[in-house]
Amino acid sequence: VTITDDELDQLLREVLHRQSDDLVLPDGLAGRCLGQVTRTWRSVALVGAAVAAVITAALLMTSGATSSSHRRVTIAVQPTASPTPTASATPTGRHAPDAHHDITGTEIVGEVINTGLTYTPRSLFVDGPNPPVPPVLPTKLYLWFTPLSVVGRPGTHLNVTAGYKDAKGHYVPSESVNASRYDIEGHQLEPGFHGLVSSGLHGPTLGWVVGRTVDHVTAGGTGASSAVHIYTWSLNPAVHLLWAPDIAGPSGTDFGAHDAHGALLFTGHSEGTPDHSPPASRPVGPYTSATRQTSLPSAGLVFRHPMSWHASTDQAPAGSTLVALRSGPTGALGAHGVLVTWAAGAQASLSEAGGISGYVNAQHMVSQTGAADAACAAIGGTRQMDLTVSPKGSAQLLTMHACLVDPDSVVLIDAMLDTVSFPAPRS
Amino acid sequence: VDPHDEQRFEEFVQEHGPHLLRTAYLLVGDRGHAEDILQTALERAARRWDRIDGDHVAYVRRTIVNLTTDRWRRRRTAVVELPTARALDVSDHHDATAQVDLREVLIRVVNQLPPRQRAVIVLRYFGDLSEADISAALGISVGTVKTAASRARAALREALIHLEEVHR
Repeated sequence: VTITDDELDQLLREVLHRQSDDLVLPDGLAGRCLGQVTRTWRSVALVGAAVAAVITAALLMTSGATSSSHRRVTIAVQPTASPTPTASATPTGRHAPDAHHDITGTEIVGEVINTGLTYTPRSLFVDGPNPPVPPVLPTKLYLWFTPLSVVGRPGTHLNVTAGYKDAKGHYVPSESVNASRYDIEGHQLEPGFHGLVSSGLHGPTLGWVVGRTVDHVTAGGTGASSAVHIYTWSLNPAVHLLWAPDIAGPSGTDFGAHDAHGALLFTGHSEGTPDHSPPASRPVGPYTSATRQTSLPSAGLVFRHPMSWHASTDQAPAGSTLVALRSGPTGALGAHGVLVTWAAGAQASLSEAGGISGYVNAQHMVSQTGAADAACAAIGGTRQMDLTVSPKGSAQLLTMHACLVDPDSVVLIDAMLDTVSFPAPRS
Repeated sequence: VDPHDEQRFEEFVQEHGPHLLRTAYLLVGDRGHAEDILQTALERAARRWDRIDGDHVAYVRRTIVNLTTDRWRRRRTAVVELPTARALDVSDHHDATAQVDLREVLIRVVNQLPPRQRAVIVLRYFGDLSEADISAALGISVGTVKTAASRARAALREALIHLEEVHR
């Protein structure tokens, strides 16, 4: 082939321009973008509430979580006498849950499914070394879909939530699938096996399959296998919810979904549900190591605590004050949101809470165990922010470090900090 | 978003959206993901519309490139630098009795280039960006841009040679 550089240049220009010349801009794209921006700012308020709730919880724990019921972050629940597969809550106020909303006011899309599984809701800090927490009563596990808007995932609009029904009949979300950009890659309704989550402690294994039926799931880490319960979603018969008892174990695992013949169903672009192919070598660099160390507790294992969203700042102890200190270098990082880490402060009583960290984006919070400072340092060039919470003018009680993993999240964390507030000290 | 900015944003999308969408498509090779990436990039631009200093097109383009890179990095399959273009698969398009569509083979080869080389090629020959602009868009040095471009062109040329051998 005797082709000159100029000819090659010309050929490439022709090829690339011709290759994509039939692409048409989706209708209403600008409007959708502007709408998403609006929704993002609304969700920032939710994140703020989540941060406030966690800080509140930490404060409550340090001041003796076992001595007073109002200091418990985990909602103590009682098993309902006769759980039904459909919502039956009665509205009790402006944001009260009803048949179509959970206790946080989030819409429930379609029906609520009573799995019949016994389930023990987890407390907020079960992921790390924890101070003693009040026991929670086992209850029945319910599943439902909620609408979802994830920054960066415009093709994802549904979230499978697992939760329970409190004594008043309100549905309380506890864990969810698909609330994270890490859960999915691609459209939520891509055929195959989608995001699957297990608490690794007391929770269920759940996910969904599109276009195929699933017979059982396996856990690569433990080698366990379990038949699954299937529920075909009424709003889209191609979507089959599945659930099973926890088979992951505390360490998490690689999940696989199999049909009745044992064939492994391919994953529907779910990063939270790794396939069973041999681990591929991944480029090693600050970005990758940061992702591994700080964002994913382990493949297939994702913790979420949406229940913290509805916790209000008035749960903070009297006299709490919040001081926001911002320091540290800034640097370019990947687009993975904000890593928030709670580290022990000066008081010895907090030593048990050290190393608890979490991941926050515009939708949710994920807790994990890890040495936060080391993880931040491993990222290199992160922007860090410290929140120092001091009750009643005491010495430093708790410091929250926010390691930004996305330059754009600067805006987000700024907005979060603006929304975090505690009651003024009482004399 | 300020109403005035909204109007400017909508005009921006109308004017530059198609080209940016095509850029995203050439970078990821999938229409659905290209639309997702463009929408995400535009949302980020909309959030800080009045704070973007200078060229909004460059901002959105760079965001697209970053999102694409992010996607590459998150993919489970490792990206391996191909030592020579002979490893590139053009044989699927070999038909001794038919006229091989050279352009189709080329785009296939472009799609198989390592991500950085592919981005350089797309930005250079579709975006008509200078090496300096590509350097800024990818966050790499001009020297690295030159190296990537050189390797990509060598790979493409090798693929053409391979294609000719297949036809003999």
